This record gives sequence, C-alpha cells and structure tokens, in this order.
Amino acid sequence: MTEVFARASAAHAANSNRDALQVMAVKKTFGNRDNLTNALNGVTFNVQTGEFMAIMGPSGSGKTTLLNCISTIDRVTSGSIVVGGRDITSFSRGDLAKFRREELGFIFQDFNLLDTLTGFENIALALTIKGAPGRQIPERVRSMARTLGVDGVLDKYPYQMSGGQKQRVAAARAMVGDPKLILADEPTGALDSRASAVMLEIMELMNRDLGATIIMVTHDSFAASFTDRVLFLRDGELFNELRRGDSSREEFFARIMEVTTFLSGEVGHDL
Amino acid sequence: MICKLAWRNVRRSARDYAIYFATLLFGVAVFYAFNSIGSQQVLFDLKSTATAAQFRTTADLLNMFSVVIAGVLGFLVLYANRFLVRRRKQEFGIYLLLGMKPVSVSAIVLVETVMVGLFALVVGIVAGVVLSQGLSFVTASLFDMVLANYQFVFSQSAFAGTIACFAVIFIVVAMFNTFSVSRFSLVNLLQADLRNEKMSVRNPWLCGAVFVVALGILTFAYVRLQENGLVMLDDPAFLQATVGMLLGSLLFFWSLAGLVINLVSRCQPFYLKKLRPFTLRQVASRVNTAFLSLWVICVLLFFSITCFSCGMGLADVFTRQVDGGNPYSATLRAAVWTSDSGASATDNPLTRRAEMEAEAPERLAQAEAAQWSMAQVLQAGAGDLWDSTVGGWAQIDYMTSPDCSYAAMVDVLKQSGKATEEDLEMVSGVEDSGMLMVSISQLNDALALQGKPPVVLEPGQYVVNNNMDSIQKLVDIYVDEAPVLTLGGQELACASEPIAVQMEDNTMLSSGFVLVVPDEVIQAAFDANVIPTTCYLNIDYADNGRTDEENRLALEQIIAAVQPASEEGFSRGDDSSWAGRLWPVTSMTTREGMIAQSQGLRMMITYLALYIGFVFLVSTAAILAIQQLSNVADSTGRYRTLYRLGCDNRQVFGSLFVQILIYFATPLLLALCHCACAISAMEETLFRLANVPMTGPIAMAAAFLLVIYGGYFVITYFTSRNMVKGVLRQP
Repeated sequence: MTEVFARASAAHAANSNRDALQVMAVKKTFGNRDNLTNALNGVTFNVQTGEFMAIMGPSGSGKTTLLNCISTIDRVTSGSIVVGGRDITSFSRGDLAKFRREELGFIFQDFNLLDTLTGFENIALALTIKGAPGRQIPERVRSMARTLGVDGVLDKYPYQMSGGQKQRVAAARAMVGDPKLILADEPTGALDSRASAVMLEIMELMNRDLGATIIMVTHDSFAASFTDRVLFLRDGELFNELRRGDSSREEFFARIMEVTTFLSGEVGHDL
Repeated sequence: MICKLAWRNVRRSARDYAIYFATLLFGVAVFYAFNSIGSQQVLFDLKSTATAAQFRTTADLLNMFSVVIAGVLGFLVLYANRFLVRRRKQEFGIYLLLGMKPVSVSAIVLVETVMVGLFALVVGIVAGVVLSQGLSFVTASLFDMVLANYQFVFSQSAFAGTIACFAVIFIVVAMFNTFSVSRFSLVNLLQADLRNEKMSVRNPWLCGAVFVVALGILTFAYVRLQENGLVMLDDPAFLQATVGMLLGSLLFFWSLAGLVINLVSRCQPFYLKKLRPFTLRQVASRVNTAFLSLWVICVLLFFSITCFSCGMGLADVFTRQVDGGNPYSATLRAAVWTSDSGASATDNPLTRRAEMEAEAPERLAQAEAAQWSMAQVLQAGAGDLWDSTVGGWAQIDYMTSPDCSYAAMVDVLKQSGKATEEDLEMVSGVEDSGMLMVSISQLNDALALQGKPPVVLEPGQYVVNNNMDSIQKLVDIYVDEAPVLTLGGQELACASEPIAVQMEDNTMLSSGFVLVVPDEVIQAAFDANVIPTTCYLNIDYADNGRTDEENRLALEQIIAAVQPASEEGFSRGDDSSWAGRLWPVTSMTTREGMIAQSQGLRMMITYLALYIGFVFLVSTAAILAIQQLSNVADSTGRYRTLYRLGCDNRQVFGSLFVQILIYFATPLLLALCHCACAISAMEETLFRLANVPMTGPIAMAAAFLLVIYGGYFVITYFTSRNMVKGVLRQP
C-alpha cells in the first residue's frame, strides 16, 4: 500500500500557480452552541489544472459538504478556498452566483436537467446565463454535444432520453462554458454499470482531450479508478491520498479497494 | 394534540394560506356588504313608498344573485383549498408513515380549514361592515340624497346569511378534504415531488394554421358584434358573435403557446439570451395544459370588465334624462283608441272613431261631450278633491294626420342626400304611420305650465318638436330642407328652428318628431272625424301643503271616481278592464314616481354590475393566482438547478416575474380586446346616441381591475418569490 499523506501535498501549496483549486484548513460546523458537529475539520489540499481527482469516504465523512463548499452552495465556517487565485469564501452572494456560472461546471447524481427544455437548450443554458453572444451558442453547443456523443438527442426532452444520455447531456452542459473546474457529485450514482462505464470514459475524455479539471465525489471505487488521484475523507478530515502514477486502471482500482476495505473494516460499516 | 398541530401548521404555512385567506376575506366582505343593502333603508328618510319599493326590489334582486355568487365563491374556496392540500401531500404522507390514522390526518386538515375559515369569516365580516357603511354613501349619492342622519348599520339578516352561506361552503370543503386525504395512497404522497412531467410542443404548422383560424373567427365575431351593436340580444348576429368569440378565444389559447415558442426559438439571437429559453419553455409547457383555464379566465374577465363598465354606462343611459323628462308634477295618459292599447284593429285614423263608436259608445259619448277635455271629466267626477289637488293643468292631444304620413319626412331626408343608410334605416319603420300633430295653443299651455315663454308660430307655418338625441341629426337635416307640407288642406311652411319641448312626464326625453301646427289644422282633423290618438293631461299640484305621496293618492281617487262601475260592452280580449280605462285615463305617471323608479333602476344596475363584476374579477384573479402558485411549487426543483448553475436571485426572480406576468397578462389582453369591441359596439348603438360618455365607467373599471387583478398579481409574485427564495436558501 502506497500512502502519501495529505500534509505532503499541502507542502507545495504555496508555490504553484498551476493550481486550479487550493483548499486550506477548511472547517465546516453544523448545529448550534449546544450541539456542534464538525462536518469538515481542517481539510487542506490542492488540485492542479488539468487534474482528474476523486474524493471518497464513507457516509457522513463530509465529502458532499466539501463539494458543496467548493461549489459555493454552502459556506465554510473557517479556512479558505482559492480558485484561480481568488479566495471565494469572501465573495458576496451575487459574486458567488457569477463565480458559479463563469468558473464552475456541475454534474449531479440525478442529472438535474431541466425537464421543460430540450437537450440543446439545457446545454445552451450554461452559455446564455453567462451572457455569451447568441450567435456563437448553437455552434458551441453542437460541437460539445458531438464530442460527448449526444448530438443525436439535442432536440429531445430529458424524459425521452436514457439515463446515460441524460448524464452526458449534463456533462456537456458542465463543459460547454469552458469552466476552470468541473464538480461531479456521484455522477454514476443513478446509472447502470454499462452507462456508468460510458460516462466515466466520457469524463476521462473531458479531462484528457479537453483539458478539464474535474473533482468527482463518489463512493464507487470503480468510478474512482478512472481518476489520477483519490482523496479519502473520514470524519471530516483527510485520511489518505492515492496517486495513480503510471499504474494501470486495474492496478489503481486494486489499491483503492485496499483503502476502502480498510476504512470500512475500521469504521465497522459499509461505504 | 390535533389542534396544536393544526395551529402550528397554519402558522408555519401562513404564506401559502395568504391567497386562500385573501380570497375568503374578499368573498365574505363583499357578500355581507351587498346583502346588507336592504338594511340601509333606515338611513334614508324615504319620503315615498315608491323609493322604498325600489330599495326592496334591489335588495331582493341582490339577495337572489347572492345564490349564484355563493356558488362561485364555494367553487373558489374549494379550488384554493385543493391547492393547499396538494402542496402538502408529502407532509400528510409523513403523518401516515409515522402511524397516524387517516381519520386523524383528516381531522388536522379539518381543524386547519375551520381555523383559517373562522378567522377569515370574522375579519371578512368586519371588513364587510366597514364596506357596507361606505356603500350607504354610494346609495345616498345614487338617490341624490345627503346622509343627514348617518348612523352605524349592522345588518343581522346579511350577517346570518353570510354565516349560513360560508358554513355550508366550509362543510363542503371539510368533506372534500376528508375524502381526498382518505384516498391518498402512501407511496403517491411521499413521492409527490418525483413525478415526471412529459413535455411536448404541438406541431408548429398546425398551431400556425389554428392560430390563423382563431384570428379569423375572432374577426368574424367582432364584425358580427359591431353589426348587432349588443342591443338586440335575440338577433342571430349576437349568437354568432358569442359563439365566435368563445370558440375563437379557445383556439387562440390552444395555438398561441406552440406558435410563439416555435417562432421565438427560431430567432436564436433573441431566444438564446439569459434565462429566456427557460422562461419561455416554462410558460409554454403549461400553456399546453392550461389553455382551457386561460380561456375560462379570459371569458370571465371579459364578462366582468364589460359588466363593470357597461353596467355603469347603462345606469346612466336609463336615468340621466329623468329630470328633463319630468317637467310636470304628474301626467295622466289616455291611450284613446289606438292599436297600442289593443283596441283599434286597423289603426287607420279615419276609421278609428267609427270603431270606438261600435265597441265603446259610452266612452266616446263622454269624451265628445267633454270635447276631449280630460280635466273637465275629472273635475266633474270629484270636484272638491280636484280643486284642492290640482294647481294647474295643460292637456296635449296627439292627433294623427290623416293626409300626411312620415313617408313625407323620409322622402325629404332621402332627397337631401345628407342622411346615411343607417339613419334612414332608423326611421324606415314609421313610414306608414300618419304624422303626429299637436296644436300650438296646447303646446303653449304646456310651456306656460312649465313656466316657460310661449312659442310663436307665424301664420302658414308649422314647427318640428323633437327632444330625442337619437334623431336630432335627422330633424336638423329635415328642417334645413324647409319642406312644405299640406296638412288639413293648408300648405304650411317649415319654421327654420325646431323646438324641443317635453310634452309629458316620462323616464326620458320622449318627444320625437312631432309637428306643432296652427289650431285650424287640428280642428280640420276633428272635422274629418279623426279622434285624438293619445291625450296627456299634465298637472301641477296645488300648493296645498300635502306631500307628493298624498297628492298622488288624491289623483288616484279622482281617477277612480270617473272609471265606469260596469264595463259592459267592452269584452274584446281576455281582460275586459283595459277598454274601460281608455278614456279618460289609461295610466298615470308622477314626477316623484319616475325619479324614484329611475334612481332605483340606477341603484339596481350599479349594484348588480359592481357585485357581479367584483366577484367575477376576484374569482378569476384568485384562480390565476392559485394556479401560478401551484405551478411554482411544482417547479421549485428547476429553480434550485438554475441557482446551482450560477443564476443569481435577480435572474431567477426576473424569470419568475415574467412567467407570472405572461400568465396574468395574456388572458387580460385578449379580454380587453373583446371588451373594446363590445364597448365600442354599444358606444355606437347606445352610449353615443344617448350622449353618455363612457370615459367615466371605463376609468372606473380600469381602476377596479388595477386594484384587484393587479393586487392579486403582486401577491402571487411575492408569495412565489418567497417560495423560491426558501428553496434557494437550502444548501
């Protein structure tokens, strides 16, 4: 088992401007004065531009809270999150919305496509709300849809698409605005194994060929094995970090399984 | 326990209850206020029984309409309630899941309904009492009275009626709730949010075609309505216009969404901007299913606005001439022996006397003995009472010219070339009748009774008397042509200025194209065996210290004294009594009665228009508001997605605003088009002729619309904004 502890990556946090994301000593506390829960208890890590990273952890480990904080849907209690050199924890509400639409792309477990809109319009929405010029939009949407293999369903409504198609349309929506960071929350959670595999290959393609920086929260070790690096969270703290390096996906999967098995054995319940 | 839970629920969902509460409150307040009008009588020193009777009639009519209104309000409350229940399906599901009995859940809903209902009832009745005090000032102004002895009025009957009506409504609502809660299945309740909506947009070509057809039908309906002029309601044109308007509106809404979404989404530089695709799809997705309710709303709006504005206008049309129309204290009318009264079979002026002689010889003898003087007969019948009651009198005998018919007038108008087809159509019905004539001395007697200077008629002249606005133009054209008429063997020239004298009491100015001729012409007619067509005896009461009411009763006694005890020989028709009243008095009108009647009519029309217009307006606005709110409640997930994708509150609320605006504005705009058409049709045929400006009623309707419809729009927007805000705040 090759373990590289989180503190190691924190060490080079200062010097790199290739970092797409810097998470520094983030704490998130829920509850009131009498009953405090530390969902995140000082989490620090960096994500480099062009990296494909997974965050794993058992239920209640704080991984979704962490993603919510990065995606600015939730606010941190202390610590800072720097994206593109700017500390987003100090943003106002309006700036946060602007930040979300300009810098981030989202892929959700339940796709979150708007059921009243066609595939085309769902993807285009990511551009229109940014105020992109209307003339460019159709071409950009089509080329992204082609890349992700959903150009055939652009005129369909979500209810007419399969789960895999919906998730790829969602991926196209996340990618089309050319965001600095793509956040994926259990993107394969609602898909069967075949659609999952297709989706993960798509994400790999987004990362490799389109240069997208992706952070994926998952508790599926198979999904995590498609990434470059896996962070393990436990009880709101960084517990472990695995880098894929030059190993094959199968080898990486085996290493991830070792950690998850260890974690589940130690915690005493499943992931 | 159940009460505690219910109370907490009501407090927590106070915002959801806002529309329900507002609607109930409006309903209760208006219901009470209009039903209490009968009780306002105590405020007014009603001098005459005629006014009191008008008051009662109005109150009765309003009470009668209240049954309909109660039905509408009941439906509305039920509809609003359904929204609340639907919105809380999940909550009910959790109660059931936790093991609560369905009966207990129903009980919670019941207690909530009763709590909100009772509260609304109390507040509504208080508001209604305040409103009804305001209405009594309106009533005072409608009766041209000053509220000298104002006092607080609380109508027990209206109170009881309101309570009873809403009690029934609440019982129905409670039954409905209990029923619908017991029918819920747990899985449906818990997964209420998860259901998948199927969207489809209709075929654009079909939509386009239907849209064009809809516009065609509407145009047809408008044209037919303009032709009909909304005066003759049994005319096929009116039926066609109505059906066309209903069908056209329905197709209009059916096709509108599909068409607009297709056109707009093709115009990409416009469409692909900010949240426009979302907003438009959101609207369109619902229009496909909501076109039916939009249609109903449009029709109700049309009805309500027209009711408001035209009702007010009509009240004016009917009553504005009442002062000018009643220059005398009273008018006794004798419809001597004309076809109007059913007595003359041929209505030929030359044979009428012979007919009367055959059928009613006693009456004819009496009339000729008195030389057709009604006053002489009446005075002979009740001398003292006559002398003490009547201060002055003047009789007008309308004679039908045996040798000159209205065809002569129509010919003059045609030859002048100044009268339009429509003008001529208006007078085409009278061509066959002989011209009506009045002698100059009788006219001057009537003017003297009015205290006005006499008309001077040059020898060899006649003058046209007309005070009806609707044919004034024709009279002017006629007089300009200065035609010479041969009447009673004399050639008479037309005096250059027409006159306008009201010759008897009537609800309106009623003297239309009557020739005032030298006395010899009338005498010549009598010599040719022509008897008067109608006699009017105008009376001014003596200065006897009696009230108008007492004087009227005295006149009735005077008339009764001269009516024949036996009416033998007058057996034509089923009702033999008519013939006996042909002479000397067929009917009586008094100024006081006419004014009371017209004020009563004005009050009735005004209140009916207000009541119906108001309730319909509230209903439509409330239905729209509830629909919008439930739609927003169903789409909160979408707003959450938008928020996550980076739309700020401003963008999301902007989209919400536009959606609600479109839903409120679309039916309103079409309804306004319909109204414009209907009002302009009535303007042409009714209001302009009657010289009643429509700006006042229209402005009033617009104000009502703005306050009620606009108010509901604002409540809807802010309520749904809060709903969405609450969803966006959740992490």
